[in-house]
Amino acid sequence: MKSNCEEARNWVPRALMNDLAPEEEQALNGHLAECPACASEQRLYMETLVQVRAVSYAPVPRHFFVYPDERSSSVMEFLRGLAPSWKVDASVAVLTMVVFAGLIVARLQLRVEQGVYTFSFGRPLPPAVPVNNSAVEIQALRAELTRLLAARSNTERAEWTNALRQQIKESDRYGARQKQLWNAALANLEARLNDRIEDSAVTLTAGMEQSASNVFRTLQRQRQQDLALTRTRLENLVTRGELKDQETDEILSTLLQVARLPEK
Amino acid sequence: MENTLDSTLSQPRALTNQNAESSQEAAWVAGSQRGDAVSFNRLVLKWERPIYNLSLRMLRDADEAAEATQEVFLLAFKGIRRFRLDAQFSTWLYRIAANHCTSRLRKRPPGVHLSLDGSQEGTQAGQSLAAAECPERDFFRQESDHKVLRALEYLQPEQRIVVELKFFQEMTFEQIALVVQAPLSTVKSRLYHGLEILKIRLARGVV
Repeated sequence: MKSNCEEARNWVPRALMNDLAPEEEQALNGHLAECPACASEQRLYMETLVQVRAVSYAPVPRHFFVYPDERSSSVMEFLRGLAPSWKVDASVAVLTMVVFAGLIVARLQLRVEQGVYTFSFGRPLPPAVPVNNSAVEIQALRAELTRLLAARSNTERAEWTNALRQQIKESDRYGARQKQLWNAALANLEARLNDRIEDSAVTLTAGMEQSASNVFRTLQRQRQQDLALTRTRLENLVTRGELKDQETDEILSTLLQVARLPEK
Repeated sequence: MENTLDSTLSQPRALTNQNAESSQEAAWVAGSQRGDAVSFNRLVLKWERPIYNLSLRMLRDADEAAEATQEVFLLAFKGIRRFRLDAQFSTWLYRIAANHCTSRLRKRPPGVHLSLDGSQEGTQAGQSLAAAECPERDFFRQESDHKVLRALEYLQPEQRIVVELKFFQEMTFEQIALVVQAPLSTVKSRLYHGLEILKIRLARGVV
């Protein structure tokens, strides 16, 4: 019964506002006919509505006309009056302009290289470093350097040995056996130099740690020492012209030893 | 009592659905959108009374209500170009007024309740032509109006605007939902809660 009264009292204002379904209204009327308390509640609501609706209208104290010049509005009022979509668009546009203005002020420099973005605010960007395959580059450089070294060494060696052979050939102070020994020594020396040049080239190619210039200087120094020693001995021989076969043999054996020295 | 209630319920005072008036109003709205202030002032003449009374009952201060009414029409005048002709002008105008009055109420310091004093009550009810003909009836009407207006002060702004639109502007629930931009269930809930408070304050004399 109590729950019926609670429900009925919830329905009373709704019934007065025509907000009840027909079956609910029928149930409410049935309950009100039996329940004096709820009927009294209904009367209270009805009296309230009558009082509220009876409130008189006040006359306007004046007219509230507007004038055309009142339509002009400030920027803020104009923005406030925009539709929501226009507000969003205007906001995005203003934001974009502000960002670009900020970037201009900061003198942003932007560079894109092979997918890599490089930014710089206010300072010039470092010069672009060409991105190459360094391994291939080094290999090619090494091969080129080796080739040049070999060519230069071969040329100089050929010139030197030719000059030496020419001097031996033109000299009439040596016996046939001595000349033969000289030529053999020179051939051995030439072969040895070739080997050293090739070994140096191989070493240069295999070893990254040894620079090409050091290799080249080492070769030059060794060859110059060999040449100086040989030239000195030969010049002495030619100048004095009194070398014995034994001494000549010793010199040649020395040359052969020099040519056969193991590479350090 | 039932006859009085029925007669009260069957007398719409502010909203009219007559076709002729609607077409005339649409013409004035169209003129206003073209910048014609005369057309807009015709709308002002038509709607100033209900808007002023809404402001008066919401704000409970005659001067502030007049100021708010002027601002409401000014806002409407400035924004009339955004009004869509397929909507109802009254709904749009009431929405501006409801938002403006609610905003003003919320800006008031907490605990401040403005009441119409004797002179303002006289301004409000004493100028009623019907009441002026009978001093005794005028006195009782003033008393009744005063009680109702005092009871309205106990409602939250959201409840008060719904009660105002339902009982004084005779709007339907759907129209009120459009004005206050709230779901229908919320509108009904606010109205029934407000009505219960009014019932307690008025019928039991606790005003």
